[in-house]
Amino acid sequence: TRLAEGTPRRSIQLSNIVEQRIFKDDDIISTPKRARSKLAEDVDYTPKKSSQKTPTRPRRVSTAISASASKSKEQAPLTPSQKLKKIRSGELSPSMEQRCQPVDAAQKSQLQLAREQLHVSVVPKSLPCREKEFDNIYSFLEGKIEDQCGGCMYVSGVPGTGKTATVTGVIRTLQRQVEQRKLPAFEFLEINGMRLTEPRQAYVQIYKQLTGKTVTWEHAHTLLEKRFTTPAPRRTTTVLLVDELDILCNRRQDVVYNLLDWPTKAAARLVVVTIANTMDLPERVLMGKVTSRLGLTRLTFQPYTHKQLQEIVGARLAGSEAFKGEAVQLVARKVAAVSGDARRALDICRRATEIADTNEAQSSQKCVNLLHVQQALAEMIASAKVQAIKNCSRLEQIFLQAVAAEVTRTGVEETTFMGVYQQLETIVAFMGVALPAPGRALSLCAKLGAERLIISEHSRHDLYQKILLNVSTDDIHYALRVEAN
Amino acid sequence: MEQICAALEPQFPCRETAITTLAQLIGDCDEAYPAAIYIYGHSGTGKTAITKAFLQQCHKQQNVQIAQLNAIECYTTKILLETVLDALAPQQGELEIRADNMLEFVEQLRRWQRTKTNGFLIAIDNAERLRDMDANVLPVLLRLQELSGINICVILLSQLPFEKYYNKTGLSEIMTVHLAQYNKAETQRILGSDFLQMQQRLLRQQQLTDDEHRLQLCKQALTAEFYNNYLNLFLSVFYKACRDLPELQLTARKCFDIYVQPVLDGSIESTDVSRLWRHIAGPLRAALTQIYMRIEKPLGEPELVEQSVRQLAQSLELPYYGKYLLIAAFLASHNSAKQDKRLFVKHHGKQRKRMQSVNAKAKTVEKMSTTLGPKSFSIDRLLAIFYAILDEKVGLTCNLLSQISTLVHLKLLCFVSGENNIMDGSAKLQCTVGLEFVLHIGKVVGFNVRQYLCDFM
Repeated sequence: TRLAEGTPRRSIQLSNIVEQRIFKDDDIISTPKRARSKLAEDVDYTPKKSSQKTPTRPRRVSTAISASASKSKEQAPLTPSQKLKKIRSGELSPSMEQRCQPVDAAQKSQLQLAREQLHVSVVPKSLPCREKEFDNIYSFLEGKIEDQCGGCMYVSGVPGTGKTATVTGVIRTLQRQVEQRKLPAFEFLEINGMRLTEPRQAYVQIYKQLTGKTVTWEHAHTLLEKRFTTPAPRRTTTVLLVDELDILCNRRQDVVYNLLDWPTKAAARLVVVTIANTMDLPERVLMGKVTSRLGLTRLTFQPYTHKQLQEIVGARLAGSEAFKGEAVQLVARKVAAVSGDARRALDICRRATEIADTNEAQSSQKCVNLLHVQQALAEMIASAKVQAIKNCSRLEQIFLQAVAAEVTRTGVEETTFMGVYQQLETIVAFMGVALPAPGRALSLCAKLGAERLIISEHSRHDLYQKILLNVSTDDIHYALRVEAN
Repeated sequence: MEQICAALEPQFPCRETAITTLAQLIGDCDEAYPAAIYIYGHSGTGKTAITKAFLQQCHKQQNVQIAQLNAIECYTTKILLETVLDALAPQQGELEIRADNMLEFVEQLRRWQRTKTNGFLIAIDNAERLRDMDANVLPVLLRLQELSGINICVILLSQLPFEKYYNKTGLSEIMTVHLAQYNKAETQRILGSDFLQMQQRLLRQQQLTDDEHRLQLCKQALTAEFYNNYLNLFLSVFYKACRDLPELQLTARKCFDIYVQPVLDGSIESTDVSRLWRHIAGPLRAALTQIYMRIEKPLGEPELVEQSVRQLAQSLELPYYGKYLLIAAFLASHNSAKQDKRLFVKHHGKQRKRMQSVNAKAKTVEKMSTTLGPKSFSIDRLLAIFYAILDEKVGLTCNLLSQISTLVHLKLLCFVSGENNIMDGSAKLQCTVGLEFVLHIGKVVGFNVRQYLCDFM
């Protein structure tokens, strides 16, 4: 810490100044909470000053300091504030606890292997059935990188249609091309709107991927602005992938605007690929100036058809005998009819292997057949409401009947507890069951409401609370009649 | 458990069953407590007192930490949690206790698993307020035993039945204990239990006066039977109107002084119940009108409601025009705007009588607009009626307008809508005073209000 006293403070990069000023003396070694609050206060006003600093030289100075400092204290355990400082400057990489020993891969059965192959996180090297989209994105990015200019692309499609997998696949191919010196080098950054607590944290993430340092969003924003607006020799192209674009759209849309405005600057050489679910997001949500910057280079991923799903699952299982052909076809047809989501198809297949694993006695001929797939489909697609109604208590069933009867009597979907209770009295008298007191009926109502079989208000409105039926009346009749027989 | 019962039962007569139930549930800290207990009953049935005494006995006799709080005082969750932690902490003053949210609270409780305290009891009074706090407070409190892993029981006290607590996401199970109101015999027994104190107090009073004869009479007359007779008379008047024990206790003590006076004077024999009844009946009825109004005033002078209104109206020192404004506001609230032309315009022409309107006029009392409650009016209409009922012509000065806002401040008028745009005329006012009050004010300024009310035409 003495070292820092002698160095010219001015030229040190600001985030480091802040940290050194806070942590320079021994008296500051206090509770982490206090230190953190101080840090937050100090960081707040840093961006105002930062415009006067030159960005290149100080970084070297600061690294020299931190290197020597860390060398001198290598043995000593870190105080929490020192740790925090290192984390914020990216010197400590986050790691996870390790298992004592890895699971042995040799003694896995065929079903287990198939299950691993079918896992959603195992992305294949080349996505089947997305060749056209791959070519489209590849030619766009390759052109932009070779032309050394910036640009935007908007990719849309319903969830599970391989958008992110295709784009990252393209990037991987391009990086391989760079390694073989067939393409000029480029930097790849990636942010996901869902992983940010706030749209402005996007700046922090982008800056972190560029330098490894964590700074406040204001600071990151000014630094990025400077990077992308001032021309610099030997600037390489940067490809920025923005996943879940619709989350980044707040009311002011300043973050989206900046992300799409930087590519238009000549100095930036930024290519932004944005991914979202809705096809008409630019027209529906974004402001005119943002839509116009997003441009017209768009690509829509259609949902998979059942043949494509069959191909995808087939490609995953390549060579394995774990699945019967018609089993895969059944999954593909059922999923394609609902959403065309590849993840769903893979999940159902995986569930089917689990069912086959537990059901079949002999381990020799374990194979997923139609019955297993049907059971998995019933578990994952079929509604549980009829089962829930069947397993309700007697009074709860009568209460549901009373709600349905009140809906048919009044013709309005929304009923009040009073009307339902009158119906309950009638039904109970008809069945010869003892009538529950209104308080008891309220607890029945609350229980059904918690199970979401009906939608009810807080029971403080007792007789006047409004009740909606959350299941169809046919479901109730079906569940209760079948049981009666 | 038996010790706790034995300690409490003399303190709370007629509550043996409730105390036994509580003792069975949470009497022994070596056994597992139920997760939550809900005690409900009317006000004045002894919920808070019994719970408080019970918890203190538990704390005294067993190794139990207790916390008692009132949910009204805890207007944020943090206050609630920190109050509970402060009271429950097994080692006092070890560290500063902090709990910003429910998670930290539960973590703190989990840390006490290894302490030697056998049980924790939390009693929360006015538990109906818990429904208005953060949505997770009530569900977590009901499952606190399960979440914290210690032998803890949460006791909720309220006047509502538990049916009023179910939220949209469901609650876990709770034991309910009902404290029913005391019946007449029980009330008499509880009221009679302070006989000895009353006797002591009266004797001390007589000793101060140094009248040997009165002291003798007092000693002779003041028996338990005499006191019970009095309570019987007292309850025959009061029990219909009020079963709130503290209220009855207060009034019974006040009226007993009047009851015992003629006996001490020697004018009535202490055994002559019928004469004593004739003597006390008047003051008792007078006291009945003052129940729930804690006015420290000597009894005996009968006070009728009408007189108090008159006094209030006469003592209200409004300026002359202010009184007229109030009358105008009352007329505007209780006459329909359709009648204004006929009532207040001098030459409105002849009104033709129709059978329909005659029938409509034949109103019952329920339909009278003075009993249906006030309707709203605009400030323009108020001023128009004011000028119509005032004989002299005064200028519309700022003093006059400021009197309207003063009447609003005094809560004699109130805004029903458009509070923010008074000046553009869309604000609507209502008159909040009753007919009696306005009639008195009219009498003060010499104005007949009934003459201008549609109901009385």
